[in-house]
Amino acid sequence: MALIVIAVFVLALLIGLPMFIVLGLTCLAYFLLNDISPLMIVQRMFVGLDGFVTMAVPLFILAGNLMNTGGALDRLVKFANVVVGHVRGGLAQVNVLGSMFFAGISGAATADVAALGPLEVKAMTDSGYEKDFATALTVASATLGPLIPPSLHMVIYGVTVSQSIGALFMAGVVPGILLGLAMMVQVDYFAKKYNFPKGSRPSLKLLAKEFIRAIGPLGLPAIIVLGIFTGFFTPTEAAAMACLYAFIIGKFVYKELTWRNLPKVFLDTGIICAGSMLIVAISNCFSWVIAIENIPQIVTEFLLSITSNKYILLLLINIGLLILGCFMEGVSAIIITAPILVPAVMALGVDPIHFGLIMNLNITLGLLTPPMGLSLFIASSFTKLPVTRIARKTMPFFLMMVGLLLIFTFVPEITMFLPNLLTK
Amino acid sequence: MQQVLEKIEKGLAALEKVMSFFVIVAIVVMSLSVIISVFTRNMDIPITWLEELARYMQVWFVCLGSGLAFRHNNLPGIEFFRDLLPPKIRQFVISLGKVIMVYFLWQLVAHGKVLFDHVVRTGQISANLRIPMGWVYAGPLVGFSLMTLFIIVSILRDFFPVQAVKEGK
Repeated sequence: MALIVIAVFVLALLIGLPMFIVLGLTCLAYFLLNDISPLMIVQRMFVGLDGFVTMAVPLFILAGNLMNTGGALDRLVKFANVVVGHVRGGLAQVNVLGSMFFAGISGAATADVAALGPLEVKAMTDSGYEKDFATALTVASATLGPLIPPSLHMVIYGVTVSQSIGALFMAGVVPGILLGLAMMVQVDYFAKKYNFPKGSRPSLKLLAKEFIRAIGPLGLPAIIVLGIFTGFFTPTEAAAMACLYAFIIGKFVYKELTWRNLPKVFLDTGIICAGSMLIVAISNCFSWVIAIENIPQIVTEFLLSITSNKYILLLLINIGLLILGCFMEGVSAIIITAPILVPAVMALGVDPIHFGLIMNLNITLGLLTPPMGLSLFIASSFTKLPVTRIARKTMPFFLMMVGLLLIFTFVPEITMFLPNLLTK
Repeated sequence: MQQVLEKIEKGLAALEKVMSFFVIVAIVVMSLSVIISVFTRNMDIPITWLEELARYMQVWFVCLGSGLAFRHNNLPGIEFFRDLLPPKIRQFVISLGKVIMVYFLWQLVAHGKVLFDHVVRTGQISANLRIPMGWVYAGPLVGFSLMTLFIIVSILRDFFPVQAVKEGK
C-alpha cells in the first residue's frame, strides 16, 4: 500500500506536474487507500492558508518588489560602486557587494539574478570583462540572498518544522556575511591573476552622497533584525512593516513608485506568491501524513543503522540535499525533506536552527547546478549563454561555497552565535 | 470549435481582469491590516479582528491567484525529466498532466463544497470579525473552480491549436 502512495508521488513528480498537485495527489492516494475522507485535504489546506506565520512569505516578497520598483536597486548598485569600484576587479566586487545589499531587501536568490543580473552583466561586459565570468559571478553571488535576512527559505523552514523564524534569520547573518567576504577574496585573486580593470577612486564626498542616497534600502535588514530581536514585532509583522517602509521610501523619498505602477507590483506579487503558497498550504496535509506514518522515525532508524557518528551522517545528509537541490526548487525541497530530516538530526543532538542554515544553503546551492539550477536558467535567458557554459564558470565559486558549507556544518558556533544571543 | 474557443478565451481574459482586481484588493487589505495592528498593539489598543481579516484576505488572494498563476505558468514543478521526452510524447504527457490536475482540483472543489455547505448550515461565525465563515470557505471553492476552468480551456487549446484557424473556416 505504501508502495502505491510512493509510486503516485514519484510518477506525478517525473511527469512534471506542479509541486502542489504532486503533494496533493500523494495525500489523496494515501487517504483513499486508508479509507479516510479526502475532506481532510481541503480542511488541512485551509488551515495552511489561514496561517498568520506563513503570511511573512507574501509580505516579504511584496516588500522586495516595492523596493525594486521604487528605485532601490539602482541606488544600492551605485553605493556598492563607490565603496569597492576603484579596486582591481572593482565591478566584479560591486557584483558581490551589491548582492549582499540586495539580499537585505529580498529573500530569494532567483529574484537577485533576475533583478540585478542584467544590470551587473551589462556593466561588467561594457568595461571589458568576459561575459561568461560576469554571468557566472552574478549567479554565484545571488546565493547570498537566502542567507542574509529576510529569507523566504528560512520562513518556510520555520513554518514547516515549527522553529523560531527570528532565530533562523539570525542564524543566516554571520554565514551570509562570511560567504560574501570569501567570495570577494576569491574575486580579488582572479582580478590579480587576469588583470581585471579598475575604476577611479571616488571622493569622500561622493561616497557620503551615495551612502545617503542608498541608506533607505540599506537600513531595511537592520530594521527587520532589530525589530524581531527586541521583540517589537513578529516576523510576519516585520514583513508588513518592511512593506510600509519600502512604500514610503519608493513613493515619497525616491518618488519612483507611482499610483500607476503600484497595482502591477501587487498583482505580480500575488501571482508569484500564489504558486508558493499553494505548496505551503498542501504541505500542511503532506506533513500530517508523514507524521501519522512515522516516517521520521523510520528515517532516523535507517540513518542510525548506517552510522551513529553525527559528523558522517551530517555529511551524508549534505550530499543528499545537494543532489536534491539540483532537481527541485527551494520551497518544495524544504517542505518535503524538513519534516523527515529534522527529527532525525535532533535525535543526533543537532540544533534545528543550525540545521535550518545547513539545509537552506544546500538547497540554495542547487540553484547553481545543472540540470535544474533555476538561477542558471534565468541568467541564460538574458545573457543568451548556454547553461552549461555558465555552470562551468561558476564552478570555482560553487566549490568554495561547498567548502564553507562543510565548515558551517561542523562548526555550529559560527551559525549559532547570534541566535544564542537572541534566546539569552 | 475555433470560434467557440476564441469567444471563451475572450471571456476568460475579462474574468482574469476581475480576478486580478480582487487579488490586488486582497493583498492591499492584508498588508494594511498587519501594519495597522502593529501600531495599535504597541499603543495598547489591540484590535483583535485585524489579524483575522489579514488571514482571510490571504486565503482569498492565494485561491484567486492560483488560477492566474496557472495562466502565467507560475506553478513550480520539476519539468526536467518531462522535457527529455521526444516532442510528440512530451505534448501528450503535458496534456495528460492537465487532465490529472483537473481531476485533483475537482476533488478539492467537490470536498470544498461539502465543507462550505457545512459551515453555512451550522451558521458558523468567525471569532473576532463576527462574519459568517461561509465567506471564508467560499475562497477555495471559487478559486479552485476558476483554476479548473482555466485548465480545461487550456486542454481544449492543446487539441485545437491556434495555427489551425484557417483550416477551420
